[in-house]
Amino acid sequence: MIRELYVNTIRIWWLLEDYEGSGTRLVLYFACFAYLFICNKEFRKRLGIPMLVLFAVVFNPVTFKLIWQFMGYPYWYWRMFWMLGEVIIIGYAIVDIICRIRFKPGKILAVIVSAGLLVWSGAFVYTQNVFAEADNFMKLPQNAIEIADALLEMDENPKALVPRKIYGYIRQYSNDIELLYGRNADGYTQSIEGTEAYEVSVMIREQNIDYAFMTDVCRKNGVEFIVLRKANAKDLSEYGYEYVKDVNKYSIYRMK
Amino acid sequence: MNYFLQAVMIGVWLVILPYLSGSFICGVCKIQASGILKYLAGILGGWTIFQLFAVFAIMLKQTLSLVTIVWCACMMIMAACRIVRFCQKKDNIPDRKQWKEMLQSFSKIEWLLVAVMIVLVGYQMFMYGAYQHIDLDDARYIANAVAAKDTDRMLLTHPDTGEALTQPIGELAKEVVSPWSIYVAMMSRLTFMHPATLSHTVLAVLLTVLVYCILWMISSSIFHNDRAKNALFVIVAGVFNIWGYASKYSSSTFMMTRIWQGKSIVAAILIPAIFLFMLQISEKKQVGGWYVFVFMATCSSCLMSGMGIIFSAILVGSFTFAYAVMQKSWRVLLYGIACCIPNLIYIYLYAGL
Repeated sequence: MIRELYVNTIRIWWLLEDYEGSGTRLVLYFACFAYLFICNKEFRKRLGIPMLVLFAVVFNPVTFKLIWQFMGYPYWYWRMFWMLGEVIIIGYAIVDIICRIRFKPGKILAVIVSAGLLVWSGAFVYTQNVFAEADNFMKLPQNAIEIADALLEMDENPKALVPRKIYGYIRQYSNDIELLYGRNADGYTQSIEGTEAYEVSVMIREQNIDYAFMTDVCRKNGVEFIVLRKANAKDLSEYGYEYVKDVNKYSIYRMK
Repeated sequence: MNYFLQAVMIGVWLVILPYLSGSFICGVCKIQASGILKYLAGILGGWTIFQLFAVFAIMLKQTLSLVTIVWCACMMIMAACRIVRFCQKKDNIPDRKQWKEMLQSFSKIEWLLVAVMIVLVGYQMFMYGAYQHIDLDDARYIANAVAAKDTDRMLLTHPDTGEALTQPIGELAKEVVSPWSIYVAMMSRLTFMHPATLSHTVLAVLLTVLVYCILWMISSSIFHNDRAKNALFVIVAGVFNIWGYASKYSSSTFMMTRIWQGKSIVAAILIPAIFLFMLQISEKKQVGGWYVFVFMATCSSCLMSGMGIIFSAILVGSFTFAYAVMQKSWRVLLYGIACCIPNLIYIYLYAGL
């Protein structure tokens, strides 16, 4: 029992470390909280003491165990740290400190130091890795939309096998397209591990395609269209699927 | 013309109607509210009504059309009541002279701070409007909304394959008690927009504004309506969020990259909203009315995600427990528990699904 509590406490600590990257922001957060708690009576009364109760719940191995049992997965516990209200506490402390300084140059210096601290402790979100210029108002990859349109042109309610890179977007675009599998091949929604469709998804992911098996599974499941990356493209006519056209980097095949 | 109609519908369903129904809610709660608080009340009220009705409609396998009709009727009745009340007794709407006086009362430093604040918030809105961040969790959320909008069946289409289901399966079953994607489907019907466009562009921009409105109100409560301090607080929050990509888990990351998803709304809007309402309760003014707001926030959290059900209960429980001990008042604790009744019901339903 005590060992379990200890292990869970360590797990919370690990998740907390993951939560804030370098951890600088977390140090800043607790420094701001401590400052406000010691120096600001109003904060103590209105936010400080209730937040101590909140800390007692969030950083608690018993809560960790309960949430784990409820959600069925301990990893999600990091979301509990959203309740710390970092932006509120850090904002409160910075404004409080700036307003306590009486001299104008001191205030300006405090603003610059605070801004520097916030920038240094975090990372800029609008980088090319995170944001890209929008292809369209739907903010879906143009590739996926064009393939979906090509399929819908050929059939009102097509059922297709599409590559991993686009299967997450096709059904965001249109409900008229059915897929052999989507993210459920990665274990989401309801895992399909152990099924033939799953085996096909693994083959395609690992670029080790048994075309006879793939087309056989597709035919059995009523898949009318197969979309393959051009790199994997092959003459599938002997397996009952004929080449229709290329859309960007993908080739579309249709059941004969 | 199509874009014009969509813009009008967005204005009606996402701005005007929430504002009017929010005014009604504030009136019923006897809360002297600013325009932004009325808007927040309307948004939370809309989410609460949807959650209270939609969950049971989904469990009973009713249609999205029915949910839409009931939701629209409720919102319109509240808005109509507000309009009738306005006609009977005109509120103190500031006239041109009062506006002029108010604007003239701004000092130079206040103007500067407000301008910086607007630039920072505007920058974030622009980024959500013109740029894209692709998150694959949408493969379920948006696909659910698209399917519900097209088929009129709620959570009865497999989001990954499109297969028709007799009942929600796997992770989909957990969405029965947190049907945010169905709310998006309803809104997309009302605004004639594709759910992906609505979520990734329109909601992303609107919700960003809402985040900073809430932060402004929190600051107003903390610093007692000092405009310069409020603007400075929002600027600090803006910088904190723009440089908030400390890890892919932080609340800032969720807010800045995928605010349209239910869990991000919990992190960016509803948790700060609960802080706001608790700060108001700690002021001990018009306390009863604020508990209605807390109730709406907890119900809205339940709508957003499974974790939202737990978070709002923990947050409200911690604050009201502390206030009850500090004020030596059982009533505070009882009100707090009453606000979490929806959470208890939805946790029970969630565990059973």
